[in-house]
Amino acid sequence: MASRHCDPTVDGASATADQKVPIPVKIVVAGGFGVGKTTFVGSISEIDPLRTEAAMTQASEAFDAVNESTDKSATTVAMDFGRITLGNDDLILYLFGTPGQPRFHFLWDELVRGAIGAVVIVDTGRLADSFSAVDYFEGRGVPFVVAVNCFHGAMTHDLDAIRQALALSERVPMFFTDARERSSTRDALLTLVQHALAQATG
Amino acid sequence: MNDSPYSEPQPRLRIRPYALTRGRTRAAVDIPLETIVRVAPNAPASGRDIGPDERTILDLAAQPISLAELSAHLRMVIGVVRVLVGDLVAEGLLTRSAIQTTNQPDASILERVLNGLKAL
Repeated sequence: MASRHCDPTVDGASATADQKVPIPVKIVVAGGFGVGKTTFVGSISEIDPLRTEAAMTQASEAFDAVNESTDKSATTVAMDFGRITLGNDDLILYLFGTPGQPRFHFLWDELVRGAIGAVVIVDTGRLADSFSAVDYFEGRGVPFVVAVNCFHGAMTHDLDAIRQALALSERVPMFFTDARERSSTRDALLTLVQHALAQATG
Repeated sequence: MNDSPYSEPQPRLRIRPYALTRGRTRAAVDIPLETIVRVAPNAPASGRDIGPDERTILDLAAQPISLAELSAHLRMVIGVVRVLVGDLVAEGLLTRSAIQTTNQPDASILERVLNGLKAL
Protein backbone atom coordinates (compact mmCIF):
# COMPACT_ATOMS: atom_id res chain seq x y z
CA MET A 1 0.00 0.00 0.00
CA ALA A 2 2.73 2.40 0.90
CA SER A 3 3.50 3.17 -2.71
CA ARG A 4 6.41 5.53 -2.86
CA HIS A 5 6.21 8.24 -5.46
CA CYS A 6 9.38 8.35 -7.47
CA ASP A 7 9.22 11.68 -9.19
CA PRO A 8 12.74 12.93 -9.85
CA THR A 9 11.54 16.52 -10.18
CA VAL A 10 10.53 16.62 -6.55
CA ASP A 11 13.84 15.80 -5.02
CA GLY A 12 16.36 17.91 -3.22
CA ALA A 13 17.27 21.42 -4.24
CA SER A 14 15.57 21.33 -7.63
CA ALA A 15 12.22 21.09 -5.88
CA THR A 16 12.15 24.51 -4.29
CA ALA A 17 10.33 26.26 -7.12
CA ASP A 18 7.77 23.48 -7.17
CA GLN A 19 6.79 23.48 -3.52
CA LYS A 20 3.62 25.50 -3.62
CA VAL A 21 0.45 23.76 -2.57
CA PRO A 22 -2.52 24.04 -4.96
CA ILE A 23 -5.72 25.69 -3.77
CA PRO A 24 -8.52 23.16 -3.22
CA VAL A 25 -12.09 23.97 -4.20
CA LYS A 26 -15.05 21.65 -3.96
CA ILE A 27 -18.51 21.02 -5.27
CA VAL A 28 -21.02 18.76 -3.56
CA VAL A 29 -22.95 16.31 -5.76
CA ALA A 30 -26.14 15.29 -4.02
CA GLY A 31 -29.23 13.28 -4.80
CA GLY A 32 -31.05 10.10 -3.95
CA PHE A 33 -29.54 6.64 -3.96
CA GLY A 34 -28.72 5.30 -7.43
CA VAL A 35 -29.51 8.56 -9.20
CA GLY A 36 -26.13 8.70 -10.93
CA LYS A 37 -23.92 10.75 -8.60
CA THR A 38 -20.86 8.56 -9.01
CA THR A 39 -21.44 8.33 -12.75
CA PHE A 40 -21.59 12.12 -12.89
CA VAL A 41 -18.36 12.47 -10.88
CA GLY A 42 -16.61 9.75 -12.88
CA SER A 43 -17.53 11.25 -16.24
CA ILE A 44 -15.27 14.26 -15.67
CA SER A 45 -12.83 13.25 -12.93
CA GLU A 46 -9.19 12.84 -13.96
CA ILE A 47 -8.94 9.88 -11.58
CA ASP A 48 -11.30 6.95 -11.15
CA PRO A 49 -13.63 8.02 -8.37
CA LEU A 50 -12.14 7.21 -4.99
CA ARG A 51 -14.08 6.20 -1.94
CA THR A 52 -13.61 7.71 1.46
CA GLU A 53 -15.46 6.93 4.64
CA ALA A 54 -16.54 8.90 7.63
CA ALA A 55 -17.39 7.37 10.96
CA MET A 56 -21.01 7.97 11.81
CA THR A 57 -19.99 9.09 15.28
CA GLN A 58 -18.51 12.25 13.86
CA ALA A 59 -22.04 13.37 14.52
CA SER A 60 -21.29 13.35 18.22
CA GLU A 61 -18.29 15.61 18.28
CA ALA A 62 -19.15 16.68 21.81
CA PHE A 63 -16.94 13.81 22.88
CA ASP A 64 -13.25 14.50 22.89
CA ALA A 65 -12.39 10.88 23.21
CA VAL A 66 -14.08 7.69 22.19
CA ASN A 67 -15.94 6.11 25.05
CA GLU A 68 -18.66 3.56 25.52
CA SER A 69 -21.38 6.00 24.52
CA THR A 70 -19.91 6.25 21.01
CA ASP A 71 -20.15 2.55 20.54
CA LYS A 72 -21.09 2.86 16.87
CA SER A 73 -17.66 4.09 15.87
CA ALA A 74 -17.20 1.10 13.56
CA THR A 75 -20.20 2.17 11.47
CA THR A 76 -19.19 4.24 8.52
CA VAL A 77 -20.75 6.09 5.61
CA ALA A 78 -19.02 6.10 2.24
CA MET A 79 -18.57 8.97 -0.19
CA ASP A 80 -17.23 8.71 -3.72
CA PHE A 81 -15.25 11.64 -5.02
CA GLY A 82 -13.26 12.76 -8.02
CA ARG A 83 -10.71 15.40 -8.87
CA ILE A 84 -10.17 17.90 -11.69
CA THR A 85 -6.96 19.92 -11.94
CA LEU A 86 -7.68 23.39 -13.30
CA GLY A 87 -5.55 26.21 -14.61
CA ASN A 88 -1.81 25.76 -14.36
CA ASP A 89 -2.05 23.03 -11.74
CA ASP A 90 -2.70 25.70 -9.14
CA LEU A 91 -6.34 24.87 -8.51
CA ILE A 92 -7.82 21.45 -7.78
CA LEU A 93 -11.56 20.97 -7.91
CA TYR A 94 -12.96 18.08 -5.85
CA LEU A 95 -16.40 16.67 -6.53
CA PHE A 96 -17.91 14.90 -3.54
CA GLY A 97 -20.85 12.61 -4.17
CA THR A 98 -22.86 12.34 -0.99
CA PRO A 99 -25.66 10.12 0.17
CA GLY A 100 -28.89 12.03 0.30
CA GLN A 101 -30.70 10.67 3.31
CA PRO A 102 -31.30 13.17 6.10
CA ARG A 103 -29.43 11.01 8.59
CA PHE A 104 -26.22 11.80 6.70
CA HIS A 105 -26.67 15.54 7.00
CA PHE A 106 -23.94 15.72 9.64
CA LEU A 107 -21.57 15.00 6.77
CA TRP A 108 -23.08 17.72 4.62
CA ASP A 109 -22.46 20.35 7.27
CA GLU A 110 -18.76 19.77 6.82
CA LEU A 111 -18.97 19.32 3.07
CA VAL A 112 -20.75 22.60 2.34
CA ARG A 113 -18.36 24.63 4.46
CA GLY A 114 -16.18 26.39 1.90
CA ALA A 115 -17.90 24.69 -1.04
CA ILE A 116 -18.66 26.51 -4.28
CA GLY A 117 -22.11 24.95 -4.11
CA ALA A 118 -24.01 21.82 -4.98
CA VAL A 119 -25.40 19.96 -7.95
CA VAL A 120 -28.57 18.11 -6.98
CA ILE A 121 -29.13 15.23 -9.39
CA VAL A 122 -32.75 14.31 -9.85
CA ASP A 123 -34.36 11.20 -11.26
CA THR A 124 -37.84 12.04 -12.55
CA GLY A 125 -39.06 8.61 -11.50
CA ARG A 126 -38.12 9.33 -7.89
CA LEU A 127 -38.50 13.05 -7.42
CA ALA A 128 -39.18 12.73 -3.71
CA ASP A 129 -35.67 11.35 -3.16
CA SER A 130 -34.26 14.80 -3.86
CA PHE A 131 -36.55 16.77 -1.55
CA SER A 132 -34.25 16.62 1.45
CA ALA A 133 -31.22 17.77 -0.56
CA VAL A 134 -33.15 20.72 -1.99
CA ASP A 135 -34.43 21.60 1.50
CA TYR A 136 -30.95 21.42 2.93
CA PHE A 137 -29.23 23.69 0.40
CA GLU A 138 -32.12 26.16 0.30
CA GLY A 139 -32.18 26.40 4.07
CA ARG A 140 -28.48 27.15 4.33
CA GLY A 141 -28.26 29.53 1.41
CA VAL A 142 -25.82 27.25 -0.41
CA PRO A 143 -25.80 27.96 -4.17
CA PHE A 144 -27.18 24.93 -5.97
CA VAL A 145 -28.50 23.83 -9.33
CA VAL A 146 -30.81 20.95 -10.19
CA ALA A 147 -29.64 18.55 -12.87
CA VAL A 148 -32.34 16.22 -14.15
CA ASN A 149 -30.62 13.06 -15.25
CA CYS A 150 -31.97 11.73 -18.53
CA PHE A 151 -30.02 8.55 -17.97
CA HIS A 152 -32.77 6.39 -19.34
CA GLY A 153 -33.46 8.64 -22.27
CA ALA A 154 -37.05 9.13 -21.22
CA MET A 155 -38.04 12.71 -20.69
CA THR A 156 -41.50 12.03 -19.46
CA HIS A 157 -41.63 15.24 -17.48
CA ASP A 158 -40.95 18.72 -18.66
CA LEU A 159 -38.78 20.99 -16.58
CA ASP A 160 -41.62 23.26 -15.52
CA ALA A 161 -43.52 20.33 -14.07
CA ILE A 162 -40.44 19.15 -12.19
CA ARG A 163 -39.79 22.65 -10.87
CA GLN A 164 -43.33 22.78 -9.62
CA ALA A 165 -43.10 19.34 -8.02
CA LEU A 166 -39.90 20.35 -6.23
CA ALA A 167 -41.41 23.74 -5.28
CA LEU A 168 -38.20 25.21 -6.60
CA SER A 169 -37.60 28.94 -6.87
CA GLU A 170 -37.32 30.37 -10.39
CA ARG A 171 -33.87 31.61 -9.43
CA VAL A 172 -32.46 28.09 -9.11
CA PRO A 173 -31.06 26.91 -12.46
CA MET A 174 -32.52 23.62 -13.63
CA PHE A 175 -31.62 21.62 -16.72
CA PHE A 176 -31.46 18.15 -18.23
CA THR A 177 -28.13 16.38 -17.97
CA ASP A 178 -26.62 13.09 -19.05
CA ALA A 179 -24.39 12.07 -16.16
CA ARG A 180 -22.43 9.72 -18.42
CA GLU A 181 -21.31 12.50 -20.76
CA ARG A 182 -18.26 14.51 -19.85
CA SER A 183 -19.41 17.60 -21.76
CA SER A 184 -22.82 17.44 -20.16
CA THR A 185 -21.27 17.17 -16.69
CA ARG A 186 -18.90 20.03 -17.46
CA ASP A 187 -21.83 22.23 -18.51
CA ALA A 188 -23.64 21.37 -15.28
CA LEU A 189 -20.60 22.42 -13.25
CA LEU A 190 -20.23 25.60 -15.31
CA THR A 191 -23.85 26.49 -14.64
CA LEU A 192 -23.33 26.02 -10.92
CA VAL A 193 -20.15 28.13 -10.80
CA GLN A 194 -21.84 30.90 -12.79
CA HIS A 195 -24.80 30.77 -10.44
CA ALA A 196 -22.51 30.88 -7.38
CA LEU A 197 -20.61 33.80 -8.87
CA ALA A 198 -23.82 35.71 -9.54
CA GLN A 199 -24.92 35.03 -5.97
CA ALA A 200 -21.51 36.08 -4.57
CA THR A 201 -21.36 39.33 -6.50
CA GLY A 202 -24.99 40.14 -5.74
CA MET B 1 -21.06 2.57 -13.77
CA ASN B 2 -23.57 2.29 -10.98
CA ASP B 3 -23.85 4.41 -7.93
CA SER B 4 -21.99 3.09 -4.94
CA PRO B 5 -23.99 0.92 -2.60
CA TYR B 6 -24.09 3.30 0.29
CA SER B 7 -27.79 3.07 0.95
CA GLU B 8 -26.98 1.66 4.34
CA PRO B 9 -23.81 2.16 6.35
CA GLN B 10 -22.01 -1.14 6.62
CA PRO B 11 -20.62 -2.14 9.99
CA ARG B 12 -17.00 -3.11 9.54
CA LEU B 13 -15.40 -5.70 11.76
CA ARG B 14 -11.92 -4.37 11.77
CA ILE B 15 -9.85 -2.39 14.21
CA ARG B 16 -11.89 0.28 15.96
CA PRO B 17 -11.12 3.33 13.86
CA TYR B 18 -9.81 5.66 16.50
CA ALA B 19 -7.52 3.06 18.09
CA LEU B 20 -4.82 4.37 15.75
CA THR B 21 -5.04 7.79 17.32
CA ARG B 22 -5.19 6.47 20.88
CA GLY B 23 -8.80 7.53 21.07
CA ARG B 24 -8.31 11.11 19.97
CA THR B 25 -11.02 12.25 17.59
CA ARG B 26 -9.92 15.85 17.22
CA ALA B 27 -7.06 17.02 15.07
CA ALA B 28 -4.38 19.37 16.35
CA VAL B 29 -5.27 21.84 13.58
CA ASP B 30 -8.36 22.55 11.49
CA ILE B 31 -8.24 20.36 8.38
CA PRO B 32 -11.26 20.31 6.10
CA LEU B 33 -11.72 17.25 3.89
CA GLU B 34 -10.40 18.91 0.74
CA THR B 35 -7.29 20.34 2.37
CA ILE B 36 -4.24 19.60 0.27
CA VAL B 37 -1.01 18.70 2.03
CA ARG B 38 2.48 17.99 0.86
CA VAL B 39 5.78 17.25 2.52
CA ALA B 40 7.24 20.45 3.89
CA PRO B 41 10.40 21.71 2.26
CA ASN B 42 13.21 21.55 4.82
CA ALA B 43 11.02 19.55 7.15
CA PRO B 44 12.55 19.28 10.60
CA ALA B 45 13.65 15.88 11.86
CA SER B 46 10.86 14.50 13.99
CA GLY B 47 11.76 13.99 17.62
CA ARG B 48 9.65 10.85 17.86
CA ASP B 49 9.03 7.57 16.12
CA ILE B 50 6.94 7.99 12.98
CA GLY B 51 4.34 5.22 12.77
CA PRO B 52 3.80 3.15 9.62
CA ASP B 53 0.57 4.96 8.72
CA GLU B 54 2.22 8.33 9.19
CA ARG B 55 5.11 7.11 7.05
CA THR B 56 2.64 6.18 4.31
CA ILE B 57 1.05 9.62 4.56
CA LEU B 58 4.45 11.28 4.20
CA ASP B 59 5.26 9.08 1.20
CA LEU B 60 1.96 9.88 -0.52
CA ALA B 61 2.37 13.58 0.24
CA ALA B 62 5.55 13.82 -1.81
CA GLN B 63 3.03 15.16 -4.33
CA PRO B 64 0.18 17.44 -3.29
CA ILE B 65 -2.68 15.27 -2.03
CA SER B 66 -5.93 15.96 -0.23
CA LEU B 67 -7.10 14.61 3.08
CA ALA B 68 -9.92 12.82 1.21
CA GLU B 69 -7.45 11.09 -1.11
CA LEU B 70 -5.25 10.05 1.81
CA SER B 71 -8.31 8.58 3.50
CA ALA B 72 -9.14 6.61 0.34
CA HIS B 73 -5.60 5.32 -0.18
CA LEU B 74 -5.11 4.37 3.46
CA ARG B 75 -8.63 2.92 3.71
CA MET B 76 -9.12 4.81 6.95
CA VAL B 77 -12.07 6.93 7.99
CA ILE B 78 -11.56 10.62 7.42
CA GLY B 79 -11.56 11.48 11.11
CA VAL B 80 -8.60 9.21 11.80
CA VAL B 81 -6.54 10.53 8.89
CA ARG B 82 -7.39 14.04 10.04
CA VAL B 83 -5.85 13.41 13.46
CA LEU B 84 -2.71 11.83 11.98
CA VAL B 85 -2.28 14.58 9.38
CA GLY B 86 -2.96 17.21 12.05
CA ASP B 87 -0.03 15.91 14.10
CA LEU B 88 2.28 15.97 11.07
CA VAL B 89 1.20 19.52 10.18
CA ALA B 90 1.64 20.67 13.78
CA GLU B 91 5.14 19.18 13.78
CA GLY B 92 6.02 20.98 10.57
CA LEU B 93 6.52 17.79 8.55
CA LEU B 94 3.62 18.61 6.22
CA THR B 95 2.50 21.93 4.81
CA ARG B 96 -1.14 22.41 3.94
CA SER B 97 -3.10 24.59 1.59
CA ALA B 98 -4.48 27.83 3.01
CA ILE B 99 -7.61 27.32 5.04
CA GLN B 100 -10.59 29.13 3.70
CA THR B 101 -12.31 31.01 6.47
CA THR B 102 -15.39 32.14 4.58
CA ASN B 103 -18.43 30.07 3.74
CA GLN B 104 -17.74 30.26 0.03
CA PRO B 105 -14.73 30.89 -2.18
CA ASP B 106 -14.41 34.55 -3.14
CA ALA B 107 -15.29 35.86 -6.59
CA SER B 108 -11.71 35.78 -7.88
CA ILE B 109 -11.41 32.06 -7.12
CA LEU B 110 -14.81 31.41 -8.69
CA GLU B 111 -13.68 33.24 -11.84
CA ARG B 112 -10.60 31.04 -11.99
CA VAL B 113 -12.69 27.88 -11.59
CA LEU B 114 -15.02 29.10 -14.32
CA ASN B 115 -12.15 29.76 -16.71
CA GLY B 116 -10.54 26.45 -15.82
CA LEU B 117 -13.74 24.51 -16.55
CA LYS B 118 -14.24 26.35 -19.85
CA ALA B 119 -10.73 25.35 -20.88
CA LEU B 120 -11.40 21.64 -20.32
